[in-house]
Amino acid sequence: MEKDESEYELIARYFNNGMTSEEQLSFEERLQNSSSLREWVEIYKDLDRVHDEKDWIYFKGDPEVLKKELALFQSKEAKVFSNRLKTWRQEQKEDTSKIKKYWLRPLITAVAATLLIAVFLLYPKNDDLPSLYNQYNNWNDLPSLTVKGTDKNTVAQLERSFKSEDYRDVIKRAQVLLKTPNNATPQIRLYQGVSYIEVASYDEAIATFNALIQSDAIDFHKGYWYKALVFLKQGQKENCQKVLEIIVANPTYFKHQEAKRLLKKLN
Amino acid sequence: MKKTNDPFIQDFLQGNPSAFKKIYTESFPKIQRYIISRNGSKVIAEDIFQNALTLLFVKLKNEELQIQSFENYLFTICKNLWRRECSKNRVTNHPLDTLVDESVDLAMFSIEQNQWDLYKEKFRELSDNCKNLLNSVFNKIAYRDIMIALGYASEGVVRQRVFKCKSKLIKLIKKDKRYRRLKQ
Repeated sequence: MEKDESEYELIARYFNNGMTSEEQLSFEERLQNSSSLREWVEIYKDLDRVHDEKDWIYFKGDPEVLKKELALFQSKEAKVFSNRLKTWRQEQKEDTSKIKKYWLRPLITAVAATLLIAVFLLYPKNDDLPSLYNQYNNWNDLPSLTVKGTDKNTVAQLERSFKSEDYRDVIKRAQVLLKTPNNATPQIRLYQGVSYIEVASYDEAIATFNALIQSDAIDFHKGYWYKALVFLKQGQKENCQKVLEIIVANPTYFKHQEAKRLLKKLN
Repeated sequence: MKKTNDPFIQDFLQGNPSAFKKIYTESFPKIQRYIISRNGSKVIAEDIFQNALTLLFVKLKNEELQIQSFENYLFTICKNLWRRECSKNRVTNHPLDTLVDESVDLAMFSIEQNQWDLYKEKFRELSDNCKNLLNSVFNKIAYRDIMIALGYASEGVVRQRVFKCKSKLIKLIKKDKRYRRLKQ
């Protein structure tokens, strides 16, 4: 379909919301009735999307095309390959974990501690948000999930998944566990929220910590600390400061001292 | 150049641990750095890398793909998977449990990647003038600045040229037989 300048102007004005309501109605009617104009406009939009790092071209074609492609991904050989890769990767992680456990971890810790001291001595004010996040995101502070009156097997499995860094599994298990009243609800929420951080689902992490903060759990205030870490991870300094101020104003809240130190560094 | 006779590709297609080790040692750290520096995490990087390798397996196995460099194409796929992930989260904000089945999602991405490859390839076939002009537009440079930088008489002339270049590109895309295969 050939397009002249006036047609382009029309399409450009359509995308820039520069049409009068009559023009827009008339253009949309043409779009409805003309598959070639519709196709042209779609490719036109896609050209911008392909070159925009923040956008993507989503599949909108014939379901039969998808069906054919899906058959390739669901073929026996694709599944065998995928499983082989997953198994190999898991074995590598286990090997690395064993090495770390027996000798590498103490060595790394010693080297890291030395470097950290050197960095603090040489650059005491080098506190950008990502490096602060890396200093404070210690998941070893999470409470044990062995809580009286809980289904030990299910909860223990969630903790095992967390330790083996299978965060998606933690999220799924937590979603199931939180559907029924549970003595370990606050702790499960912490594990779930931290797992959301690890898979970069920050909105879900915030929602999870908010649910903990608004609950009547004894340690509801732990939610504030982890919420502050979510903001820190995302580089949202002001939001992080606001949450830290709440912890600083309440000496009994979790990580009160750390919050004071972190807030000082951010100010 | 079809790479299926390459010994490394053969090892990869057979799921040989030596091929996996080479890929994970040489390419994964780069992808991980790329994703973490854009607010992602190590877990996301792992998932994306694994999906990209499965996609490469399917494409190479079915001879859908002609690539010059395995590593470069792997990096392109990973970047696009991450881009898609970010775009999806921004638009729909779905929690993880409502996502479609993993293999359906990957098959959809595979078609989208084919389309992306086609659009990029056709863009390279344009004249240098059109490429320069459209690159400026895609980089969101104002028409007035493009007019000054590229020496056009007026903004109107820039608009006209942009339209002609985009039309040319759309024609090249539609003429390619792969475009029809992606749609029907």
